[in-house]
Amino acid sequence: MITQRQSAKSIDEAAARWVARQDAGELTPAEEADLSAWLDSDIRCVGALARAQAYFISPRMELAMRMLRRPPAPSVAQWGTLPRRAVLMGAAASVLGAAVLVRRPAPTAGRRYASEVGEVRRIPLPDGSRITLNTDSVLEVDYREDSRTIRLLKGEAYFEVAKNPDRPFIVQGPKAQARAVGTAYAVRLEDDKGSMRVQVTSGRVAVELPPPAPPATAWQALERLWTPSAGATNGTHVTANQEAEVRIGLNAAGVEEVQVSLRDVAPGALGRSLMWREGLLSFEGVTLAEAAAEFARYSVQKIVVKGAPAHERISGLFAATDPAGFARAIALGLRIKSKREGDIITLYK
Amino acid sequence: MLRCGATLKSTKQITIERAQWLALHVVPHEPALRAWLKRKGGLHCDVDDVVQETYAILATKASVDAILDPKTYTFQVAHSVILQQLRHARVVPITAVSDIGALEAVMDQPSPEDTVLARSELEHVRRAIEALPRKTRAAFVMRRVEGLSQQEIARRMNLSQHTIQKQVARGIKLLLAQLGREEADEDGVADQKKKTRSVERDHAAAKRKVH
Repeated sequence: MITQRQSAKSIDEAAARWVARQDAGELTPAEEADLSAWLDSDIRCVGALARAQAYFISPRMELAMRMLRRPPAPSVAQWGTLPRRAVLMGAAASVLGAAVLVRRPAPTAGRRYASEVGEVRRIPLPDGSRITLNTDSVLEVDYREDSRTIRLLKGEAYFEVAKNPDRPFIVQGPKAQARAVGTAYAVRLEDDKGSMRVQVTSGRVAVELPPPAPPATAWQALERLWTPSAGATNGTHVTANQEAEVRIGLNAAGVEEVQVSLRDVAPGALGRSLMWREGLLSFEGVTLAEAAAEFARYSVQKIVVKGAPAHERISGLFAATDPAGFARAIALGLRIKSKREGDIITLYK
Repeated sequence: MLRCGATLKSTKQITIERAQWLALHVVPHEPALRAWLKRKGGLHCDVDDVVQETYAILATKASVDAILDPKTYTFQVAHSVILQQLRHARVVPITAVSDIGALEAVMDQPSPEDTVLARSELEHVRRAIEALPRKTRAAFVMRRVEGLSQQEIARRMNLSQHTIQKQVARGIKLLLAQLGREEADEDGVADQKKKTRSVERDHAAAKRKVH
Protein backbone atom coordinates (compact mmCIF):
# COMPACT_ATOMS: atom_id res chain seq x y z
CA MET A 1 0.00 0.00 0.00
CA ILE A 2 1.24 3.45 -0.80
CA THR A 3 0.43 6.20 1.67
CA GLN A 4 1.07 9.61 0.28
CA ARG A 5 2.86 11.84 2.73
CA GLN A 6 2.06 15.50 2.25
CA SER A 7 5.06 17.68 1.60
CA ALA A 8 5.90 20.40 4.08
CA LYS A 9 5.34 22.89 1.26
CA SER A 10 1.82 21.75 0.42
CA ILE A 11 0.95 21.80 4.14
CA ASP A 12 2.22 25.37 4.39
CA GLU A 13 0.11 26.38 1.39
CA ALA A 14 -3.03 24.90 2.90
CA ALA A 15 -2.23 26.57 6.24
CA ALA A 16 -1.87 29.93 4.49
CA ARG A 17 -5.29 29.46 2.85
CA TRP A 18 -6.92 28.62 6.18
CA VAL A 19 -5.40 31.61 7.98
CA ALA A 20 -6.58 33.94 5.19
CA ARG A 21 -10.02 32.32 5.32
CA GLN A 22 -10.26 32.68 9.11
CA ASP A 23 -9.15 36.28 8.81
CA ALA A 24 -12.02 36.99 6.38
CA GLY A 25 -14.69 36.08 8.89
CA GLU A 26 -16.37 33.25 10.75
CA LEU A 27 -16.17 29.81 9.15
CA THR A 28 -19.30 27.97 8.10
CA PRO A 29 -19.99 24.67 9.93
CA ALA A 30 -18.91 22.81 6.79
CA GLU A 31 -15.64 24.71 6.69
CA GLU A 32 -15.11 24.07 10.41
CA ALA A 33 -15.45 20.36 9.72
CA ASP A 34 -13.03 20.55 6.79
CA LEU A 35 -10.48 22.36 8.90
CA SER A 36 -10.78 19.86 11.74
CA ALA A 37 -10.36 16.96 9.33
CA TRP A 38 -7.32 18.60 7.81
CA LEU A 39 -5.76 19.25 11.22
CA ASP A 40 -6.40 15.63 12.25
CA SER A 41 -4.71 14.29 9.12
CA ASP A 42 -1.17 15.10 10.22
CA ILE A 43 0.39 16.64 13.31
CA ARG A 44 2.45 18.87 11.00
CA CYS A 45 -0.76 20.56 9.79
CA VAL A 46 -1.39 21.79 13.33
CA GLY A 47 2.11 23.20 13.51
CA ALA A 48 1.87 24.76 10.06
CA LEU A 49 -1.43 26.48 10.95
CA ALA A 50 0.02 27.78 14.22
CA ARG A 51 3.11 29.02 12.43
CA ALA A 52 1.13 30.69 9.64
CA GLN A 53 -1.09 32.43 12.21
CA ALA A 54 1.92 33.52 14.23
CA TYR A 55 3.62 34.97 11.16
CA PHE A 56 0.43 36.67 10.02
CA ILE A 57 -0.02 38.49 13.34
CA SER A 58 3.69 38.87 14.12
CA PRO A 59 4.53 42.39 15.34
CA ARG A 60 7.83 42.04 13.47
CA MET A 61 6.02 41.44 10.23
CA GLU A 62 4.07 44.60 10.86
CA LEU A 63 7.24 46.47 11.75
CA ALA A 64 8.99 45.28 8.60
CA MET A 65 6.00 46.45 6.55
CA ARG A 66 6.07 49.86 8.19
CA MET A 67 9.75 50.08 7.32
CA LEU A 68 8.95 49.44 3.68
CA ARG A 69 6.24 52.00 3.35
CA ARG A 70 6.88 54.64 0.77
CA PRO A 71 4.62 57.25 -0.72
CA PRO A 72 2.24 55.16 -2.81
CA ALA A 73 3.02 54.88 -6.50
CA PRO A 74 0.47 56.49 -8.86
CA SER A 75 -0.98 53.14 -9.85
CA VAL A 76 -1.60 52.35 -6.20
CA ALA A 77 -3.33 55.65 -5.64
CA GLN A 78 -6.36 54.59 -7.64
CA TRP A 79 -7.07 52.04 -4.94
CA GLY A 80 -7.70 54.87 -2.55
CA THR A 81 -5.17 56.81 -0.55
CA LEU A 82 -3.39 55.13 2.28
CA PRO A 83 -2.93 57.40 5.27
CA ARG A 84 0.60 58.71 4.98
CA ARG A 85 1.77 58.95 8.54
CA ALA A 86 5.47 58.98 7.85
CA VAL A 87 6.55 60.14 4.45
CA LEU A 88 10.01 58.86 3.77
CA MET A 89 12.57 60.63 1.70
CA GLY A 90 16.01 59.77 0.40
CA ALA A 91 17.49 56.52 -0.77
CA ALA A 92 18.47 55.40 2.70
CA ALA A 93 14.89 55.75 3.81
CA SER A 94 13.90 52.47 2.24
CA VAL A 95 15.45 50.74 5.22
CA LEU A 96 14.15 53.19 7.76
CA GLY A 97 10.62 54.03 8.44
CA ALA A 98 10.04 53.34 12.08
CA ALA A 99 11.61 56.71 12.73
CA VAL A 100 11.18 59.70 10.46
CA LEU A 101 14.35 60.32 8.58
CA VAL A 102 15.13 63.42 6.62
CA ARG A 103 18.26 63.96 4.59
CA ARG A 104 19.57 67.49 4.71
CA PRO A 105 22.48 69.20 2.95
CA ALA A 106 26.04 68.67 4.15
CA PRO A 107 27.09 70.85 7.05
CA THR A 108 29.47 73.77 7.03
CA ALA A 109 31.74 74.84 9.91
CA GLY A 110 30.06 75.40 13.24
CA ARG A 111 26.62 74.18 12.24
CA ARG A 112 24.19 72.99 14.84
CA TYR A 113 21.97 69.95 14.35
CA ALA A 114 19.08 68.88 16.50
CA SER A 115 16.71 65.95 16.34
CA GLU A 116 13.15 65.88 17.58
CA VAL A 117 11.88 63.29 20.03
CA GLY A 118 11.50 60.10 18.00
CA GLU A 119 13.53 61.37 15.09
CA VAL A 120 16.75 59.77 13.86
CA ARG A 121 18.81 62.00 11.59
CA ARG A 122 21.60 61.20 9.20
CA ILE A 123 24.18 63.93 8.75
CA PRO A 124 26.74 63.34 6.00
CA LEU A 125 30.02 65.22 6.38
CA PRO A 126 32.01 66.49 3.38
CA ASP A 127 34.82 63.94 3.86
CA GLY A 128 32.46 60.97 3.69
CA SER A 129 32.10 60.54 7.44
CA ARG A 130 28.54 60.07 8.64
CA ILE A 131 26.78 61.06 11.79
CA THR A 132 23.56 59.40 12.90
CA LEU A 133 21.83 61.55 15.49
CA ASN A 134 19.56 59.67 17.88
CA THR A 135 16.29 60.92 19.33
CA ASP A 136 16.12 64.28 21.13
CA SER A 137 19.80 65.13 20.61
CA VAL A 138 21.81 68.21 19.74
CA LEU A 139 25.32 68.56 18.36
CA GLU A 140 27.53 71.12 16.67
CA VAL A 141 29.82 70.28 13.82
CA ASP A 142 33.02 72.28 13.59
CA TYR A 143 34.60 71.06 10.42
CA ARG A 144 38.01 72.49 9.56
CA GLU A 145 40.98 71.69 7.36
CA ASP A 146 43.04 70.29 10.23
CA SER A 147 40.37 68.94 12.56
CA ARG A 148 36.88 67.60 12.75
CA THR A 149 35.31 68.54 16.04
CA ILE A 150 31.80 67.58 17.08
CA ARG A 151 30.36 69.05 20.25
CA LEU A 152 27.68 66.72 21.59
CA LEU A 153 25.39 68.98 23.60
CA LYS A 154 22.55 66.57 24.29
CA GLY A 155 21.59 62.96 23.70
CA GLU A 156 23.44 60.42 21.60
CA ALA A 157 25.02 60.04 18.20
CA TYR A 158 26.81 57.38 16.20
CA PHE A 159 29.85 58.31 14.14
CA GLU A 160 31.25 56.53 11.13
CA VAL A 161 34.55 58.22 10.59
CA ALA A 162 36.34 58.35 7.25
CA LYS A 163 40.03 57.63 7.84
CA ASN A 164 42.26 60.72 7.82
CA PRO A 165 45.20 60.81 10.26
CA ASP A 166 45.79 64.49 9.51
CA ARG A 167 42.35 65.49 10.66
CA PRO A 168 41.52 63.93 14.00
CA PHE A 169 37.83 63.35 14.56
CA ILE A 170 36.89 64.48 18.04
CA VAL A 171 33.55 64.20 19.81
CA GLN A 172 33.49 66.53 22.79
CA GLY A 173 31.22 66.02 25.75
CA PRO A 174 31.00 68.47 28.64
CA LYS A 175 33.78 66.80 30.64
CA ALA A 176 35.55 64.42 28.31
CA GLN A 177 36.08 63.79 24.65
CA ALA A 178 36.39 60.77 22.39
CA ARG A 179 38.98 61.08 19.65
CA ALA A 180 39.26 58.78 16.67
CA VAL A 181 41.36 58.43 13.57
CA GLY A 182 39.17 56.18 11.45
CA THR A 183 36.51 54.19 13.16
CA ALA A 184 32.86 53.84 14.09
CA TYR A 185 31.57 54.60 17.53
CA ALA A 186 28.63 55.94 19.50
CA VAL A 187 28.70 58.60 22.20
CA ARG A 188 25.80 59.09 24.58
CA LEU A 189 25.42 61.77 27.23
CA GLU A 190 23.81 60.08 30.19
CA ASP A 191 23.00 63.01 32.44
CA ASP A 192 23.57 66.75 32.60
CA LYS A 193 26.62 66.44 34.85
CA GLY A 194 28.85 65.15 32.09
CA SER A 195 28.50 61.37 32.38
CA MET A 196 29.01 59.80 29.02
CA ARG A 197 29.14 56.40 27.37
CA VAL A 198 31.38 55.58 24.43
CA GLN A 199 30.73 52.39 22.46
CA VAL A 200 33.18 51.39 19.77
CA THR A 201 32.13 49.08 16.92
CA SER A 202 35.36 49.23 14.96
CA GLY A 203 38.80 50.80 15.17
CA ARG A 204 40.12 52.58 18.24
CA VAL A 205 38.96 55.64 20.13
CA ALA A 206 40.79 57.62 22.82
CA VAL A 207 38.60 58.85 25.65
CA GLU A 208 40.39 61.84 27.12
CA LEU A 209 39.97 65.24 28.70
CA PRO A 210 39.08 68.09 26.39
CA PRO A 211 41.99 70.41 25.51
CA PRO A 212 41.13 73.60 27.48
CA ALA A 213 42.87 73.02 30.83
CA PRO A 214 40.38 72.75 33.68
CA PRO A 215 41.00 74.72 36.92
CA ALA A 216 44.26 73.84 38.65
CA THR A 217 42.78 71.81 41.53
CA ALA A 218 40.64 69.68 39.29
CA TRP A 219 43.54 69.22 36.93
CA GLN A 220 45.71 67.82 39.70
CA ALA A 221 42.98 65.45 40.73
CA LEU A 222 42.56 64.28 37.18
CA GLU A 223 46.23 63.75 36.52
CA ARG A 224 46.22 60.67 38.70
CA LEU A 225 43.48 59.08 36.67
CA TRP A 226 44.53 60.01 33.22
CA THR A 227 48.22 59.10 33.38
CA PRO A 228 49.95 62.48 33.40
CA SER A 229 52.07 62.96 30.25
CA ALA A 230 50.02 65.99 29.29
CA GLY A 231 50.11 65.30 25.57
CA ALA A 232 47.43 64.55 23.06
CA THR A 233 47.30 60.84 23.89
CA ASN A 234 46.71 60.92 27.62
CA GLY A 235 43.38 59.16 27.39
CA THR A 236 42.04 55.66 27.79
CA HIS A 237 41.93 53.68 24.60
CA VAL A 238 38.70 51.98 23.73
CA THR A 239 38.86 49.38 20.98
CA ALA A 240 36.22 47.53 18.94
CA ASN A 241 33.58 45.77 21.02
CA GLN A 242 34.39 47.74 24.12
CA GLU A 243 32.48 50.40 25.91
CA ALA A 244 33.77 53.14 28.19
CA GLU A 245 31.70 54.81 30.89
CA VAL A 246 32.74 58.30 31.88
CA ARG A 247 31.48 59.35 35.31
CA ILE A 248 31.94 62.50 37.28
CA GLY A 249 32.72 61.62 40.87
CA LEU A 250 34.36 63.14 43.92
CA ASN A 251 37.73 61.97 45.11
CA ALA A 252 38.73 61.52 48.76
CA ALA A 253 39.48 65.22 49.08
CA GLY A 254 36.02 66.10 47.82
CA VAL A 255 37.31 67.37 44.51
CA GLU A 256 35.39 66.57 41.36
CA GLU A 257 37.15 64.10 39.11
CA VAL A 258 36.41 62.43 35.82
CA GLN A 259 36.45 58.64 36.08
CA VAL A 260 36.45 56.23 33.25
CA SER A 261 35.77 52.51 33.31
CA LEU A 262 36.24 50.12 30.42
CA ARG A 263 34.45 46.89 29.69
CA ASP A 264 34.17 44.35 26.89
CA VAL A 265 30.84 43.97 25.18
CA ALA A 266 29.77 40.97 23.11
CA PRO A 267 29.60 42.05 19.43
CA GLY A 268 25.94 41.02 19.25
CA ALA A 269 25.08 43.05 22.32
CA LEU A 270 26.76 46.14 20.91
CA GLY A 271 24.92 45.80 17.62
CA ARG A 272 21.65 45.41 19.51
CA SER A 273 22.18 48.51 21.59
CA LEU A 274 22.87 50.46 18.40
CA MET A 275 19.68 49.31 16.64
CA TRP A 276 18.33 52.82 17.21
CA ARG A 277 20.22 53.77 14.05
CA GLU A 278 17.49 51.91 12.18
CA GLY A 279 14.71 53.28 14.32
CA LEU A 280 14.53 50.11 16.38
CA LEU A 281 15.06 49.19 19.98
CA SER A 282 16.41 45.76 20.76
CA PHE A 283 16.14 44.27 24.20
CA GLU A 284 17.68 41.06 25.42
CA GLY A 285 16.73 40.06 28.94
CA VAL A 286 16.25 43.58 30.31
CA THR A 287 13.59 44.37 32.88
CA LEU A 288 10.36 45.90 31.67
CA ALA A 289 11.14 49.00 33.75
CA GLU A 290 14.46 49.44 31.91
CA ALA A 291 12.79 48.99 28.54
CA ALA A 292 10.12 51.56 29.45
CA ALA A 293 12.84 54.06 30.42
CA GLU A 294 14.54 53.51 27.07
CA PHE A 295 11.26 54.08 25.19
CA ALA A 296 10.79 57.33 27.10
CA ARG A 297 13.72 58.79 25.16
CA TYR A 298 11.95 58.33 21.85
CA SER A 299 8.40 59.47 22.37
CA VAL A 300 6.27 61.91 24.28
CA GLN A 301 4.14 58.91 25.19
CA LYS A 302 5.50 57.44 28.39
CA ILE A 303 5.12 53.89 29.64
CA VAL A 304 4.57 53.43 33.37
CA VAL A 305 4.93 49.91 34.77
CA LYS A 306 3.16 49.25 38.07
CA GLY A 307 4.06 46.53 40.56
CA ALA A 308 5.70 43.18 39.92
CA PRO A 309 5.67 43.26 36.08
CA ALA A 310 8.36 46.00 36.27
CA HIS A 311 10.88 43.27 37.13
CA GLU A 312 9.82 40.88 34.36
CA ARG A 313 12.62 40.32 31.87
CA ILE A 314 11.82 40.77 28.20
CA SER A 315 13.49 40.31 24.83
CA GLY A 316 12.51 41.52 21.41
CA LEU A 317 12.85 44.04 18.65
CA PHE A 318 10.51 47.02 18.57
CA ALA A 319 9.90 50.25 16.66
CA ALA A 320 11.50 52.95 18.80
CA THR A 321 8.75 55.45 18.09
CA ASP A 322 5.83 53.14 18.78
CA PRO A 323 5.62 52.73 22.57
CA ALA A 324 1.91 51.89 22.25
CA GLY A 325 2.72 48.95 19.98
CA PHE A 326 5.42 47.84 22.39
CA ALA A 327 3.00 48.05 25.32
CA ARG A 328 0.41 46.02 23.38
CA ALA A 329 2.92 43.31 22.52
CA ILE A 330 4.20 43.15 26.09
CA ALA A 331 0.71 43.07 27.60
CA LEU A 332 -0.11 40.10 25.38
CA GLY A 333 3.20 38.37 25.95
CA LEU A 334 3.24 38.73 29.72
CA ARG A 335 -0.54 38.47 30.08
CA ILE A 336 -0.81 41.76 31.89
CA LYS A 337 -3.15 44.68 31.31
CA SER A 338 -2.49 47.95 29.58
CA LYS A 339 -4.42 51.19 29.63
CA ARG A 340 -3.79 54.50 28.01
CA GLU A 341 -4.65 57.93 29.37
CA GLY A 342 -3.40 60.80 27.25
CA ASP A 343 0.34 60.36 26.83
CA ILE A 344 0.65 57.85 29.66
CA ILE A 345 0.45 54.13 28.95
CA THR A 346 0.19 52.09 32.13
CA LEU A 347 1.09 48.41 32.29
CA TYR A 348 -0.22 46.59 35.33
CA LYS A 349 -1.14 43.14 36.59
CA MET B 1 -9.29 43.22 14.62
CA LEU B 2 -7.93 39.71 14.38
CA ARG B 3 -10.48 37.04 14.17
CA CYS B 4 -8.42 33.97 13.49
CA GLY B 5 -8.97 31.37 16.12
CA ALA B 6 -11.63 33.28 18.00
CA THR B 7 -14.45 30.87 17.27
CA LEU B 8 -12.58 27.64 16.89
CA LYS B 9 -13.99 24.49 18.29
CA SER B 10 -11.63 21.62 17.61
CA THR B 11 -9.11 20.99 20.38
CA LYS B 12 -6.33 20.97 17.81
CA GLN B 13 -7.10 24.48 16.69
CA ILE B 14 -5.03 27.32 17.99
CA THR B 15 -6.21 30.14 20.20
CA ILE B 16 -5.40 33.71 19.31
CA GLU B 17 -3.46 34.05 22.60
CA ARG B 18 -1.27 31.10 21.71
CA ALA B 19 -0.65 32.41 18.19
CA GLN B 20 0.39 35.72 19.72
CA TRP B 21 2.69 33.98 22.17
CA LEU B 22 4.28 32.10 19.27
CA ALA B 23 4.63 35.30 17.26
CA LEU B 24 6.33 37.06 20.13
CA HIS B 25 8.50 34.29 21.55
CA VAL B 26 9.11 31.65 18.89
CA VAL B 27 8.97 33.31 15.45
CA PRO B 28 11.96 35.57 16.25
CA HIS B 29 14.09 32.50 16.98
CA GLU B 30 12.99 30.48 13.96
CA PRO B 31 15.97 31.48 11.76
CA ALA B 32 18.35 30.42 14.53
CA LEU B 33 16.42 27.18 14.99
CA ARG B 34 16.54 26.43 11.26
CA ALA B 35 20.25 27.23 11.04
CA TRP B 36 20.87 24.97 14.02
CA LEU B 37 18.82 22.13 12.53
CA LYS B 38 20.63 22.57 9.26
CA ARG B 39 24.02 22.37 10.97
CA LYS B 40 22.81 19.05 12.33
CA GLY B 41 22.21 18.02 8.71
CA GLY B 42 23.94 14.73 9.41
CA LEU B 43 20.87 13.69 11.33
CA HIS B 44 19.01 13.33 8.03
CA CYS B 45 16.03 15.17 9.38
CA ASP B 46 13.85 17.35 7.23
CA VAL B 47 14.13 20.83 8.68
CA ASP B 48 10.65 21.90 7.51
CA ASP B 49 9.06 18.82 9.08
CA VAL B 50 10.84 19.37 12.38
CA VAL B 51 9.87 23.05 12.45
CA GLN B 52 6.21 22.25 11.73
CA GLU B 53 6.11 19.58 14.42
CA THR B 54 7.82 21.87 16.89
CA TYR B 55 5.17 24.53 16.29
CA ALA B 56 2.48 21.86 16.63
CA ILE B 57 3.74 20.83 20.07
CA LEU B 58 4.07 24.42 21.26
CA ALA B 59 0.64 25.33 19.84
CA THR B 60 -1.21 22.48 21.51
CA LYS B 61 0.59 22.49 24.84
CA ALA B 62 -1.99 23.01 27.58
CA SER B 63 -0.21 26.04 29.00
CA VAL B 64 2.89 28.04 28.19
CA ASP B 65 2.82 30.05 31.40
CA ALA B 66 5.64 28.07 32.99
CA ILE B 67 8.03 28.56 30.07
CA LEU B 68 10.57 31.09 31.27
CA ASP B 69 13.00 30.87 28.37
CA PRO B 70 10.97 30.26 25.19
CA LYS B 71 14.06 30.07 22.96
CA THR B 72 15.74 27.27 24.87
CA TYR B 73 12.40 25.55 25.28
CA THR B 74 11.76 25.70 21.52
CA PHE B 75 15.17 24.20 20.81
CA GLN B 76 14.49 21.45 23.34
CA VAL B 77 11.16 20.64 21.71
CA ALA B 78 12.82 20.52 18.27
CA HIS B 79 15.47 18.24 19.75
CA SER B 80 12.84 15.87 21.10
CA VAL B 81 11.11 15.87 17.69
CA ILE B 82 14.37 14.78 16.06
CA LEU B 83 14.87 12.02 18.61
CA GLN B 84 11.29 10.89 18.07
CA GLN B 85 11.83 10.77 14.31
CA LEU B 86 15.03 8.77 14.73
CA ARG B 87 13.27 6.25 16.94
CA HIS B 88 10.55 5.82 14.36
CA ALA B 89 12.88 5.60 11.39
CA ARG B 90 13.34 2.00 10.35
CA VAL B 91 17.04 2.30 9.63
CA VAL B 92 18.93 4.79 11.71
CA PRO B 93 22.02 5.98 9.90
CA ILE B 94 25.17 5.46 11.96
CA THR B 95 26.09 9.14 11.68
CA ALA B 96 22.76 10.17 13.12
CA VAL B 97 23.35 8.32 16.36
CA SER B 98 26.82 9.69 16.90
CA ASP B 99 25.59 13.19 16.14
CA ILE B 100 23.15 13.08 19.03
CA GLY B 101 26.03 13.65 21.44
CA ALA B 102 27.08 16.72 19.50
CA LEU B 103 23.49 17.91 19.49
CA GLU B 104 23.27 17.75 23.25
CA ALA B 105 26.52 19.63 23.63
CA VAL B 106 25.18 22.39 21.42
CA MET B 107 21.94 22.57 23.37
CA ASP B 108 23.74 23.97 26.39
CA GLN B 109 25.06 27.07 24.71
CA PRO B 110 23.37 28.72 21.77
CA SER B 111 26.18 29.66 19.37
CA PRO B 112 27.07 33.28 18.66
CA GLU B 113 25.66 32.82 15.16
CA ASP B 114 22.26 32.27 16.73
CA THR B 115 22.37 35.73 18.22
CA VAL B 116 23.49 37.29 14.96
CA LEU B 117 20.76 35.47 13.08
CA ALA B 118 18.10 36.65 15.50
CA ARG B 119 19.27 40.18 14.90
CA SER B 120 19.14 39.91 11.14
CA GLU B 121 15.74 38.23 11.30
CA LEU B 122 13.95 41.53 10.80
CA GLU B 123 16.04 42.16 7.71
CA HIS B 124 14.98 38.73 6.37
CA VAL B 125 11.36 39.57 7.01
CA ARG B 126 11.75 42.93 5.35
CA ARG B 127 13.30 41.39 2.25
CA ALA B 128 10.62 38.72 2.11
CA ILE B 129 7.87 41.35 2.20
CA GLU B 130 9.64 43.42 -0.39
CA ALA B 131 9.72 40.39 -2.68
CA LEU B 132 5.92 39.97 -2.60
CA PRO B 133 3.97 40.78 -5.78
CA ARG B 134 2.77 44.37 -5.72
CA LYS B 135 -0.94 43.69 -5.34
CA THR B 136 -0.39 41.04 -2.69
CA ARG B 137 1.82 43.36 -0.71
CA ALA B 138 -0.67 46.21 -0.99
CA ALA B 139 -3.46 44.01 0.40
CA PHE B 140 -1.16 42.71 3.11
CA VAL B 141 -0.09 46.17 4.20
CA MET B 142 -3.66 47.47 4.29
CA ARG B 143 -4.67 44.48 6.39
CA ARG B 144 -1.77 44.42 8.85
CA VAL B 145 -0.50 48.00 8.98
CA GLU B 146 -3.66 49.99 8.32
CA GLY B 147 -5.78 47.45 10.16
CA LEU B 148 -8.48 47.42 7.46
CA SER B 149 -10.75 44.36 7.23
CA GLN B 150 -10.57 42.19 4.14
CA GLN B 151 -14.01 43.52 3.23
CA GLU B 152 -12.82 47.12 3.47
CA ILE B 153 -9.72 46.33 1.40
CA ALA B 154 -11.90 44.73 -1.27
CA ARG B 155 -13.99 47.91 -1.43
CA ARG B 156 -10.93 50.16 -1.68
CA MET B 157 -9.17 48.09 -4.29
CA ASN B 158 -12.42 47.55 -6.15
CA LEU B 159 -11.93 43.80 -6.13
CA SER B 160 -14.06 40.97 -4.80
CA GLN B 161 -13.64 39.88 -1.21
CA HIS B 162 -12.74 36.43 -2.49
CA THR B 163 -9.85 37.91 -4.47
CA ILE B 164 -8.54 39.71 -1.41
CA GLN B 165 -8.73 36.53 0.63
CA LYS B 166 -6.70 34.81 -2.08
CA GLN B 167 -4.14 37.63 -2.05
CA VAL B 168 -3.78 37.37 1.72
CA ALA B 169 -3.37 33.59 1.47
CA ARG B 170 -0.82 34.08 -1.28
CA GLY B 171 1.09 36.59 0.83
CA ILE B 172 1.23 34.26 3.83
CA LYS B 173 2.24 31.34 1.60
CA LEU B 174 5.06 33.29 -0.05
CA LEU B 175 6.32 34.67 3.25
CA LEU B 176 6.38 31.24 4.87
CA ALA B 177 8.22 29.79 1.89
CA GLN B 178 10.59 32.73 1.58
CA LEU B 179 11.50 32.77 5.26
CA GLY B 180 12.13 29.03 5.27
CA ARG B 181 14.25 29.24 2.15
CA GLU B 182 16.26 32.25 3.28
CA GLU B 183 18.34 30.08 5.59
CA ALA B 184 19.03 27.56 2.87
CA ASP B 185 20.65 30.28 0.78
CA GLU B 186 22.94 31.28 3.60
CA ASP B 187 23.93 27.74 4.26
CA GLY B 188 24.31 26.98 0.58
CA VAL B 189 27.56 25.05 0.90
CA ALA B 190 26.28 22.63 3.52
CA ASP B 191 23.13 22.25 1.44
CA GLN B 192 25.14 21.37 -1.62
CA LYS B 193 27.01 18.72 0.33
CA LYS B 194 23.78 17.24 1.56
CA LYS B 195 22.44 17.16 -1.98
CA THR B 196 25.56 15.37 -3.21
CA ARG B 197 25.21 12.87 -0.40
CA SER B 198 21.60 12.17 -1.15
CA VAL B 199 22.39 11.77 -4.85
CA GLU B 200 25.02 9.19 -3.93
CA ARG B 201 22.49 7.43 -1.75
CA ASP B 202 19.99 7.38 -4.60
CA HIS B 203 22.62 5.91 -6.90
CA ALA B 204 23.39 3.18 -4.40
CA ALA B 205 19.69 2.42 -4.02
CA ALA B 206 19.26 2.27 -7.80
CA LYS B 207 22.16 -0.16 -8.09
CA ARG B 208 20.70 -2.42 -5.45
CA LYS B 209 17.45 -2.49 -7.36
CA VAL B 210 19.14 -3.46 -10.60
CA HIS B 211 21.06 -6.34 -9.07
